[in-house]
Amino acid sequence: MREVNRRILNIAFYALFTLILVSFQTSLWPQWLGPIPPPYFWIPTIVYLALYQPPLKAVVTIYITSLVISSMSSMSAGLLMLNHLLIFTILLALKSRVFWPGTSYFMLATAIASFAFSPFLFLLSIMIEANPMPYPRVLPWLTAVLLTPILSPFLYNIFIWTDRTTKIDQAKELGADFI
Amino acid sequence: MFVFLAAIPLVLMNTEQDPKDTALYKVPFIYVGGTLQKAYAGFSGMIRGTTRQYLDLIGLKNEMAEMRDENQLLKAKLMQYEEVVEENKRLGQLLNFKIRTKMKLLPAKVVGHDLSADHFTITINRGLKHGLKKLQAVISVDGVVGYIFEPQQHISQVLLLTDRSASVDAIVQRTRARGISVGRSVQSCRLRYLERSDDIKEGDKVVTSGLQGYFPKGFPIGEVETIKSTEYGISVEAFLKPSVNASKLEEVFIVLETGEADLKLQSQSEKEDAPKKETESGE
Repeated sequence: MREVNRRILNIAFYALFTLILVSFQTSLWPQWLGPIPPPYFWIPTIVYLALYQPPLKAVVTIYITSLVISSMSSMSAGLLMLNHLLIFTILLALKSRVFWPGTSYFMLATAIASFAFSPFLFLLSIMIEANPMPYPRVLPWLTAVLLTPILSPFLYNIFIWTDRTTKIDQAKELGADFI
Repeated sequence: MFVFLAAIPLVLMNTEQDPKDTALYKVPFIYVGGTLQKAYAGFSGMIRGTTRQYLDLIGLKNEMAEMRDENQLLKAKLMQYEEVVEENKRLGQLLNFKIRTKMKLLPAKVVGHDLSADHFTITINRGLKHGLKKLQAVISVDGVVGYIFEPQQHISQVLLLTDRSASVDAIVQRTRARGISVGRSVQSCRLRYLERSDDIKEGDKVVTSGLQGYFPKGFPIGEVETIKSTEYGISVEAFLKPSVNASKLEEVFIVLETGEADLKLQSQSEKEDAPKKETESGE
């Protein structure tokens, strides 16, 4: 397979896989677990892209992923992209200072990203939106911060497997490997 | 010696001829034998009892396992039954509502919720294919749910009344004061742009004005919880508790056409029902 095709396939996988995860979050989770706030199922994708993909490709994929998942919310796609871009920047800064390969680092990065998502959304809403959020909802946010890192090792291995299958070697060079 | 030995049985046979007498020589043997028999019988009984108990236990265990399974099954069936009863009740209310209203309604099931906890949308299993259009009103038996904002071929996203992007033209039922209901948070809306002189108080019912044309006139939006003046005191705004708890919604209706006489019809049928109820209670 040609290099371009493999890259397209790789990006398409992230978008599609995130869509599957987010569909689970918005449809099955409320039906099975009722009022328990769900984890941010898409955040591990953003974290993986930020940490283990070249920056340009990561940003493009993050934007495509943001577009895909904004279809499941009334949230503006632009706001979501901006939020993810801020998270991406934070993760790059973190990686430049502290980095070790493996699942534990991925979990830590996921926890940081999950923690940052809601406050960023609140701040961006206050700054940008005409009718901003009156207050951030703390309980769903804290639950997501606790649950999302638990979910991340499983997804981490799927992402690495995908990169290997589509023969994207940068991930390994950038420190990703199976548990 | 041989004769002696042969004579003993004959003597004993002779002594045993009278059934009323017990031969003395037999007494110790009878005693020991009886004791042993008793012991054996006891032992045998014990073994048989233990075996029976063991077998019974096995049987009981199996029976218990079967009963437990049966119990679980019955519990599950009971839960299912209760769920069916609840669903039946809910669907009955919906059907009753649909029959009594003049609006052209399309029922739909809720299949998804919003991705973010700070945004409020639901996804329903009806779309363009079923004749849905953008901005069509979505209601339930209790009141306004929201409106269609992203219709797709087979599904549609409904912007709930509580979402910050949602706004519905509204009036206070008691005084007819007019404002715009804007979403605020999970269980709260704001009624904005009310005039300072408008008569409004806590507990007032807020209903749709029908001016947008999407919602039927006079359909419940919520109830006033608090009132406050805006920053420069030009107008007042009220915080509303929505009539519908969207997080618990399972079925909704899409208003395909609003019937003008709808709420009159509803109030008429309520009036018609009232004397019947009084008569029934009187009886």
